[in-house]
Amino acid sequence: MLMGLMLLGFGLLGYLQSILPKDSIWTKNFFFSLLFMYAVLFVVIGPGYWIRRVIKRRITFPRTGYVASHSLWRPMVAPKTDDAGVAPGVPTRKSLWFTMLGIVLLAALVGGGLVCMMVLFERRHLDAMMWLVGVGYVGYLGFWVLVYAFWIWRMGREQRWKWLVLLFMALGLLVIGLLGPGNYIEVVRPVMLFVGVVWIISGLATLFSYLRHTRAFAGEAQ
Amino acid sequence: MNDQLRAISELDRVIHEPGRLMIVSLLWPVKECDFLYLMNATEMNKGNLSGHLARLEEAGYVQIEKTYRGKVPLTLLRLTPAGRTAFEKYREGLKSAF
Repeated sequence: MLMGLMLLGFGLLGYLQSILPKDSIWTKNFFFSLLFMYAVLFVVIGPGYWIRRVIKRRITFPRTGYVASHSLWRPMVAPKTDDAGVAPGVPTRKSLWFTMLGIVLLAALVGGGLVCMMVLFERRHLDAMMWLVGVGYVGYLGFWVLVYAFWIWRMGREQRWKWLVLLFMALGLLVIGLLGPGNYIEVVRPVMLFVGVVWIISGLATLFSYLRHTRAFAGEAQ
Repeated sequence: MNDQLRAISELDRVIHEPGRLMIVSLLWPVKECDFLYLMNATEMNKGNLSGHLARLEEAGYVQIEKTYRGKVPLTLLRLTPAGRTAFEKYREGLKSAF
């Protein structure tokens, strides 16, 4: 849901900048235009973090209990320790760095695939700078496509309707790709709006389904 | 006795019991969880779960910490390094047996 909110914010931001006068400082100046982006990030990440905490404390923990995964960043940045001394099953510094490298490589692969698709279906000539921005953006998108695909694969076992969301998203993106604006920059806006709205609705549906199927445990568990 | 049968006979009986195996399997990938999470995931009742946890704690495989979240009592559970090693050994034993 938070990612959906962020994409929705960026999409709306894109439309807002497109209707602002061309000589406006908010569109002309690179740093001022970035301020808009940081505003969206601040709104989504700041309150979003607290909303997630509140949802966990007030809704999730009393219903299905509390579970915490191993810290990932701490062992990665901690001073080098002897991995052999770590208990089995606990992520080690080495395994985490290898996993991170694997994720980056995989994201680069997916991003590279998307760049190839962009080349094949090139809508207009992009200059070198735009290519760099585009490649960076597509690499980032590739990472999230992977995360989302993994999430659907995991969730799809229990909530089969998630596959319909995926199908709907694929069809929607295809329609936007075919009928949307021809410019690479312009086509990003409806894509962000569409994906953002779909993710928010899907997230809300998941939350309501969870609330419907679980109930808070009366009193203490033990 | 051949090696496969020996591997079966040497399986850790504390972990081998299905209820306890479920608990250890659930605790293995996480840092810690509470009693309610285990009760939900295993669909065991309080008494059964408490009994199995007591047995695992006695064997030194699980650490049980009684604390509070606000004013609500909270029982936190985590696998000890000995529990992790025992589970790893159990998995290896099961693999070599079959």
